[in-house]
Amino acid sequence: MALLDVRHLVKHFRRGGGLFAPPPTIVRAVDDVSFAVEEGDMFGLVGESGSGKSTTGRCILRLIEPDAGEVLFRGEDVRTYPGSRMRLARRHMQIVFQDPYSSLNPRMRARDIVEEPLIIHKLGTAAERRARVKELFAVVGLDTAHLERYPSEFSGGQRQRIGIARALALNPALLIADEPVSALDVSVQAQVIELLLELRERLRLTYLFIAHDLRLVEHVCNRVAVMYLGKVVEMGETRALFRNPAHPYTRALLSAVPRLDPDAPRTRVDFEASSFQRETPLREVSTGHWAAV
Amino acid sequence: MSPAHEDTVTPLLDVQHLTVVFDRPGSTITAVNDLNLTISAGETLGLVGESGSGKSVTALAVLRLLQPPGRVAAGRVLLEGRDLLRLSEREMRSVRGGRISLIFQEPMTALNPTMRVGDQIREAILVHGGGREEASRRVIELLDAVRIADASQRARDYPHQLSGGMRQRVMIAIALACRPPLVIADEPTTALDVTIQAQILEMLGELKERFNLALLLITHDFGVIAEMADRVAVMLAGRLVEQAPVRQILRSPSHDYTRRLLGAVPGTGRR
Repeated sequence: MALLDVRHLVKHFRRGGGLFAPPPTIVRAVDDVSFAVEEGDMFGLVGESGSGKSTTGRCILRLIEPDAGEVLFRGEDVRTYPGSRMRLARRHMQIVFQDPYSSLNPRMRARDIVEEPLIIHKLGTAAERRARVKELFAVVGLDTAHLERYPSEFSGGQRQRIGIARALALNPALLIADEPVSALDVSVQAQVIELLLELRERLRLTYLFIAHDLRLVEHVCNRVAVMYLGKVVEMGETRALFRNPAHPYTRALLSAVPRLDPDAPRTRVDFEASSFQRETPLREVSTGHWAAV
Repeated sequence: MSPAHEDTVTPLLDVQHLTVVFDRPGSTITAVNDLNLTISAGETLGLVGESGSGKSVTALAVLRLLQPPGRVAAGRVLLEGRDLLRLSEREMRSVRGGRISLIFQEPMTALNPTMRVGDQIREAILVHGGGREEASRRVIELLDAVRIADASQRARDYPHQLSGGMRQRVMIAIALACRPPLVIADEPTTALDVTIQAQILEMLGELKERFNLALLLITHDFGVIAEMADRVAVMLAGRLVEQAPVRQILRSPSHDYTRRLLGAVPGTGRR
């Protein structure tokens, strides 16, 4: 059984409308999206802006309420849970946000930010919680001498570590990492990625790794799904998908990634949005490799 | 004025011992420290570094757009042999846009939201002299050059009606309005999706050839460097740590920091 099994997830937004505005348009942000994340996976969800990858992540946690579909976590559909039960379920599924500047309360000390989930879930005594926060600081590579500091006193990479410590506080099984390093400098990115990979081993974490950076996804994820305009257009083992992209959009996307070799032959493929057939279903093009072609 | 053979002798831009400081109460922070770099006509120099390395401050200093408390403490910025730091503000205004123009990262904040994009391009042409009729013709020509389809229609759009990639094309059209020999592009594609980035870089490459532009390309992305640059200068904490042709930087970087930066690019480290 997959740890997370997303089935036919749908989220549409209404855009525009109003008294004197033209009639509203429906944006199909997430449009019948299905994929399964196995225990221990580093599952990459990639796409460009507007592909629906972040909305998908938020719908899984019901931070945005989906319109339809199932989100099976350990076989149970969390969409049927009432609010209190959902909050309980979120102990096991946590999220790390992109921007370590806006996702931490600037008026809270680092220790309080990391402790807060424990308080909300009424876990441990004050002393136990303090010990746990210290432990989490050590786990993510933060200096316990800095427990009392405010977010503004940390660098971007350190703030992201605080965000990761907070997400780990409840010992989750699944971590949804939404562009966790895209706001960071490249050398800092590498350190945070190292940390995420190390935690995967150490804490036996499963990741849903949402990113736009294909080089990064190729490097860290074992499986990947490519989203375009609310649809998963291709999905499979990272290596197979990067070597033999089957969907024309995936091909265009991969061909657009700048190469580090100035002498590499460049064959850029364009993808015309107008040629996109959004109703084409996924089919298995080779074992475990699916594409909407 | 300048004989043809001088072009091979004098670089287009020659920055010598540039030092930029920011005055703080009781202290001075050195943002750029004794920086030397040159760009020849038609050449692309990639300026690489992480945030705070001083690469954008260098660009602002070259254009004399530093805001207090930032100031140039020492050095010379020679453009075609003239020291820009000694020009009057009036003379400097004709250099900006006329001889050097700037493309920013964020096209939405750099464009005027209340003006049609065609008018913004026209303004750039008229500021530096030129007739109105010629200007109107040039607007369409420039929009064609940056491959905006349906140019006369799009000229009537406001920035918010355009996508991010389209806005960046408009910015580039404005930058090229007076056919400057040097364009400074500060993270020109960082805010864009990778497929749009590829289109913009390809187009910049073509425009460079067509107008024999020199480009100072500021970026943190070695992929963009590999696609575009002839030479690369690497900055760390206000200093230039390495300057070399692009293949040499990518294949055998000599400075430890350059190696570390390259090693941090996903997929280059462990495989």
